[in-house]
Amino acid sequence: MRRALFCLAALLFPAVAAAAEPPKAPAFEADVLPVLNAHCLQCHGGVHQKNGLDLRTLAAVLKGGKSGAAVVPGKPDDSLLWQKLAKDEMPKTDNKVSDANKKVIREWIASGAKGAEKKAAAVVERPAGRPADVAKLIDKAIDDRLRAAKVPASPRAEDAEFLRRVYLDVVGKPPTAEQAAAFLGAADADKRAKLVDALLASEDYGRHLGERWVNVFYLATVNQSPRPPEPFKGWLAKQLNEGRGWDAVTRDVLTATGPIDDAPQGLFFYYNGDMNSQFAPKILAGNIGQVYLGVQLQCAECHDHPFSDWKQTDFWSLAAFFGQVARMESVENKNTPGVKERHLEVKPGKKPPAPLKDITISIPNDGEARNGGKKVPAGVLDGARLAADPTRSHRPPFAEWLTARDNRLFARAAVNRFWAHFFGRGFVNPLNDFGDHNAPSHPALLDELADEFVASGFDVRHLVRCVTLSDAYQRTSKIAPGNDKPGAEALFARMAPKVLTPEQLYDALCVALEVPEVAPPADPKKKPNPKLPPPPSPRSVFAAAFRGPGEADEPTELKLGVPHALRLMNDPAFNTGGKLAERVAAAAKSPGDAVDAMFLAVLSRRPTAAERTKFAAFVEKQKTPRDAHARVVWVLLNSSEFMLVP
Amino acid sequence: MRESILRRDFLRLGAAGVVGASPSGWLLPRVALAAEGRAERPRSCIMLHMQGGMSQHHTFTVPELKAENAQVDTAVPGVKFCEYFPKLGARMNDICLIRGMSTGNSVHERARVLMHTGYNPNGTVGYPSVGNVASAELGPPDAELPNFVSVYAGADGLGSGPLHRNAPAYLGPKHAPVPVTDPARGIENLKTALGAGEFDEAAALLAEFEAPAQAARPSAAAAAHLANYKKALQLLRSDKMKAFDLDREPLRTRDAYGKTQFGKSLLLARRLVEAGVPFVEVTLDGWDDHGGAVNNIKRRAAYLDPTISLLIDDLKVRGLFDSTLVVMMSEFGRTPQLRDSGYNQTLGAGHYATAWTTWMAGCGVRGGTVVGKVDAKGGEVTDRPVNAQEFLATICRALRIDFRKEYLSKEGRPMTFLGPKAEPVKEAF
Repeated sequence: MRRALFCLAALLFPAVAAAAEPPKAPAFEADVLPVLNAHCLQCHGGVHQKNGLDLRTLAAVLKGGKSGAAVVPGKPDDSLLWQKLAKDEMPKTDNKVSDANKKVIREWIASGAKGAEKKAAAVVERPAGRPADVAKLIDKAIDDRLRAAKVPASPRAEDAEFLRRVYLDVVGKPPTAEQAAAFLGAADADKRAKLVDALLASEDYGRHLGERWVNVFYLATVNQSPRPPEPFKGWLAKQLNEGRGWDAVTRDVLTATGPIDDAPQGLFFYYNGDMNSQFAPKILAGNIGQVYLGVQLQCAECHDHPFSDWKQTDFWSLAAFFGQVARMESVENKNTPGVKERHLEVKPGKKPPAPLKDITISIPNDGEARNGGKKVPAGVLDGARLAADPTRSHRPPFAEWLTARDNRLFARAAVNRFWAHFFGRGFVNPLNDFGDHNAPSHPALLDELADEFVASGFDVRHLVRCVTLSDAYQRTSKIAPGNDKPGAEALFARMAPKVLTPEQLYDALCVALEVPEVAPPADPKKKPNPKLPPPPSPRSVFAAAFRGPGEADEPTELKLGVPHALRLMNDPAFNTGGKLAERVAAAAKSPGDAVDAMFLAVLSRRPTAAERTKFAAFVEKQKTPRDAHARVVWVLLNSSEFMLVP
Repeated sequence: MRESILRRDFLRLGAAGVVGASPSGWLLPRVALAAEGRAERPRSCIMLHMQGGMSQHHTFTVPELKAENAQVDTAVPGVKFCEYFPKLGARMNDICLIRGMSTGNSVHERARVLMHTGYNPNGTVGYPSVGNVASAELGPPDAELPNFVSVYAGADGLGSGPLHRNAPAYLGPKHAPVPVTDPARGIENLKTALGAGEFDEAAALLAEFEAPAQAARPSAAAAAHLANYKKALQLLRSDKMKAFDLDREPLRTRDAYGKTQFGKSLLLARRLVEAGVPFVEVTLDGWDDHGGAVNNIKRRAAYLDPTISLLIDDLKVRGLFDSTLVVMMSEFGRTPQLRDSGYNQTLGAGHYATAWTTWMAGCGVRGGTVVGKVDAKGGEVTDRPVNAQEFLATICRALRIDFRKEYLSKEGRPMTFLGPKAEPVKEAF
């Protein structure tokens, strides 16, 4: 059966099936550029080009600097680059190039100083694959790499581990004790796939993925008191739950116009504003570059990118599309928040303004950026100019270009982010740093999944199904002998434990304690003031307290500190056992039963025999069962197992 | 770790016969002391942050023209303060007054970022505040107490947006400040719901439960979780946490610092510094005196002048003054009387970053010094302007922090706390 599926996959997607590549001559982008990046680009890159030499691209290397070409293809000994490196004349710092890397450079020059073959992006015209087939493709690509690296994969996770993981990843919260018992007790061989389908059909799927995506922008807001994100989160949840394509959703975000009440996605522009909440084209360009294109354009705000060949004009060309976007409040002088364009409307009876040759934006002349005052025309990254009509919004043509089926940057950046949502890391890391200088860990698989995403009409549910059905996703996060060595995490040999986001942590506390909210009881003396906006929900207050100032969420990095640990330990809202301890005290027939029930409710699993014995002994030693249960819940809630997605 | 790096540097520099070869040139004395086995008292800073924009005209630089206040003589002949600050005036021998602050940013939140980090926020790169840097550079990594405590001393007047938050940026979350929102209560959630014995039993069960999980699924996140809990338990059980308990101070001292939240914050700051915390920031909000500063500052000075003076005396009595820098600062000053009518007719009504005043004392700062002069209206710096980076570089110089040390941002970009042009105000030493 397995074999048959592989054959089917090979027929459907020959590119991946042929991915076992023979050894090749070194290529500039994959092999040489990382060495240059580590040792040379500080002085010969986008910021400094000492002696006129720029080593960021193959063309620039061949052109050379004031001393002539840096490389003579085929002749290492005649090449300046080799001469300088071989004798350690360069780099001038202590950061010398290792012998192994020198060998790479020498072989590359000797084999003709070639670059990678660039394939033109083809528009994907095939139908989407079946999720189970795509999952097999994922596994073939991952397993091939593991085999080649001689790193063993960890075995398939037990049902309980998979259960907790897939709940937290897809709907953002762990299963209730009842849901966990139902899944663990089911004998159906296909129960994992059925669970994925059930979770994807629940409203919480859109709620969770929407919240995570909005938070990428909301948490990066420069202004310290941004508008609450709930309307935007609700809007995105609805789009995802209705199954709209990611391309259409993205277009709606980037072209949002009107009051926030009607178009909540317009909050996107508030989160890309400056300190005074004025919409800022340069911040928009930087964040759209990072999130939707996966490239670090923002370094090019002030100067050409030091390590890749993004030019300052690339950055400002993109910013130019957003030069007219403004807050409704500042355009109309009313208190209605919303998004507006500065000269979008032609007043009746007035002649429309003459068409512009180009939409332009001026680089601010504030002494921070180079070339201050220079006018830059709007353009997209491949150099094409888009039509400019001053009577219309400039954003739709940009959004169309961005989300086009043949814009591989968009599909790849999205797939990389969604993959990282499940695996804790992308194929490209950091997620926003695609480029020749930073090769993906599984390039063919990334391309294949990006094609699959396009083929499915940018269907996020389809992508989630494909990923969660793979063996790679269903592996245990326990180490297997030999797969805990450095570098193995990039091969996905075992599942990386991920940190709960503050919202996930709050929801997990509610589920575990079997209460609707965890919050200090309201002060009965304080009467709500109907004139003031309603106070933020306990959940958002909790989330704000459990994130540091200006902190974005990192999937595998614990950013909580000692104050948070103290609060989880000692705040009575979290550590008196909740309704769970009461329920267990009323229902459990023996200390062992009680321990079983509490493990299931808090950790979605049953205790091991040793754990059961140890915890039951602890329960028996306490003065009252109620105290005993509250303390067991305390122990489980404060464990790293509770704080992490297994 | 830190010690060994210092030692290695010292040996290398010593062997090469280089003196002052660290990028900023001041590490050597401390290294030399360490090598001689003579431990120098670690340096600390208490930064008094007057959030909202403190009027220089009604505090430490009363203008010659259009003044609203009389002036009082200070301990230094020729140097005068506003009449509301006689006690601090009497301690001018310890103070270095910087009258030429000229920082160029008069938007509250942005200016607060500038005065703490040295950079105007640009939405692209995050910069740490001086307190975060002090935590990273001065704080022992295994310290029982937090290395950066941020104390909220309350609000007395008009607010001007959210409290400034010191984001650690590329230094990482362990250098974020531990907040104290009420100095009388100290760090929150330090008291367990259980008795000590019962709590210890539960904590022991947690430790037993945790060990196999950490071994089976090792990860940086799980290790960080465990480290947090160990540190939290250490704090719960530490004798040093007494530093946060103002009730342990003799009644006489508590009375002297007074009943205001600001006074209590200063007492807490002194106790923390005494216990070895490298950086304490005390924020008093409410200084956005658009309706005029004179009455508001008279009200505030009634507790600021005696308590800050007491802090200086107290640090001296305890032998802490030479190793503790006290800084009084704000995000900007307030407008001179630019016009005779209209918005700026009232002295100090508007935000003003062109010419304003801060001061520092202790930790080797040369007391009795006045750096910079302003014109008769107090509207222009006529001698020795000081920008935000120079101000922060001066704090670093006093604390022996190398502000040109390179860190790596997440994107792999080399970062230094202050820029290549930053120089400390040398007149301050």
